[in-house]
Amino acid sequence: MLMSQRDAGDLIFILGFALVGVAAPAALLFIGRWLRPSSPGKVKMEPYECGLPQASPPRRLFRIRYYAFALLFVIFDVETVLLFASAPVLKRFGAAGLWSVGAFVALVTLALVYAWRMHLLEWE
Amino acid sequence: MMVTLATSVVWAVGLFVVAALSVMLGVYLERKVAGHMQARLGPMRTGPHGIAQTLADTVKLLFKEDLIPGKVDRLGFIVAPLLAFAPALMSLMVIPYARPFVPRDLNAGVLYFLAVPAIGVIAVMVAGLSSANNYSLLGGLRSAAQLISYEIPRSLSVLSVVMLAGSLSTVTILERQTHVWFAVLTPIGFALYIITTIAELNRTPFDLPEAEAELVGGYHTEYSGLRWAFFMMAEYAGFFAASAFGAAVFLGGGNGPLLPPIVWFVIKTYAIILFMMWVKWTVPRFRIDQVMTLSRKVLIPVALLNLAVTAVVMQYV
Repeated sequence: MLMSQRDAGDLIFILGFALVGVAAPAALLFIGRWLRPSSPGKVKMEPYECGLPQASPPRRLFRIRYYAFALLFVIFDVETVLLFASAPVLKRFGAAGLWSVGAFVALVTLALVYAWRMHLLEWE
Repeated sequence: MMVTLATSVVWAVGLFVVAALSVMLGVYLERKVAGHMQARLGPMRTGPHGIAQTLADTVKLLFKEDLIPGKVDRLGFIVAPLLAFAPALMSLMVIPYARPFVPRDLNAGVLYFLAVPAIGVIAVMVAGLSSANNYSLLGGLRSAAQLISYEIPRSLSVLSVVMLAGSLSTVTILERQTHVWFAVLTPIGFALYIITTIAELNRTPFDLPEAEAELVGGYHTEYSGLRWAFFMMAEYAGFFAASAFGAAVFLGGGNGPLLPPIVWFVIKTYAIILFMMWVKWTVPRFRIDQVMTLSRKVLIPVALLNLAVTAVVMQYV
C-alpha cells in the first residue's frame, strides 16, 4: 500500500477545501448574474490606460531581467525543501547530523557568495 | 472516504464564512487605522462609527457590472480571481485556532502552509498576462519576482521553529509552547517572519506590485466588480491566515492564563494584524531594486545565520 489511511484522509481534506475555494466564488458570480446590470460599450471594452487610447499593446517582446533571479530562486528553494526534510529530525541524529547538514548549507552559501561576487544579486 | 470529504467541506464552508468576516473586519480596520493615524476619522456614516461600511461595499460590489474588456484572454482572465482566492481559503485549513477548532492536523502542516499560498503567485501572473494591459503586465511581473524572492527567507524563518519543535505539524508546534513562546527562543526568526510576510502580502512598504502612483492598480487594473472583490478577499484572507499562523507558531496561539484559548488566539492574531497596519501607514514604499536586494543580501544571510546558531545552540546547550 502506497498511502496510509490517514494520508489519504489528508488528501481528501485538501481536495474538499480546494473544491469549496473555487466553488464558493464561482457560485457568488453565478448568483450575481441576476443582480448586476450589463451594458457593454465600445469605449468600456478598451484596455484602461488612464483615459487615453492604449499607446502600445503589451503583447510584444521585451527584456525582463529575471534569468539570474529565477535560477538562484530554484537553487535556494531546493535547499529549503531539503532543510524542511531534515530539520524536524536534526536533534535525533546528534552532532553527526548537525555537521553533515551544516556542510550542505555551507556549500549552498558558497554559491550565494559567488553570486554576490558576480553581481547577480543586484537589480539593474 | 465520503465522511472525510463531507467533514472537509463543512470545515471549508465554515472557514469561508470566517474568512469573509475577517476580510470585512480587516478592510474596516485598515481604513479606520489609516484614518486615525492621519488625524482623520475614516468611515463614519454607515452604522455607528462606520462599522457597516464594508458590508455596504460588499453589497455594492455584488450589484456592479461584470466587465470583461474586449482584448483580454478570456480563460485566464476568468480563472485568475478564483485561483487567487482558493489558496487563501486552503491555507486556513492547517491553522490550530484553539481546541476544538482544529480543522486538520497535517503531519507536514508547516510545509503545506508555506507552499499553498504560493499558488497565488501564479494567479497574479495569469491576471497580469491575460489582461492585455501594460500596467497589469508590469504589476504581474513585479509581483512574481517579489513573491518568489521573499518565499525563501520566509521558509527559512519558520524552519528555525520547526527545528526547535522537532515537528512539521502545526498542532505539535503549538503544544511545545505551553511554557515559552518560540518568538522568545528565536526572536530573529519571528522578526524575519513578520518582514517577509509583509512582503508576501504585497503590503506597504513592499506594495510595488500595485503601486498605485505608477501602475494604476497593478495586476488587477482591468478587474472590476465581483472579480476584483475576489482578489481583495484573497489578499485580506491571506493577511488573516498569515497573522493567525504567526500567532500559532511563534506566539503560542491559544496558550495563555485566565481567558479561554480562542480569546487568546484572537488577541494575538489581531495584535499581529494591527502591527502590520501600523507599519503600512508609517513606512513609505521602497524602490524595486531595494526590495529585491534586501531579500538576497540581508534577509537570506541573516536567516541562514539564525538557523545555524539555533541548530548549534540546540545541540550543545
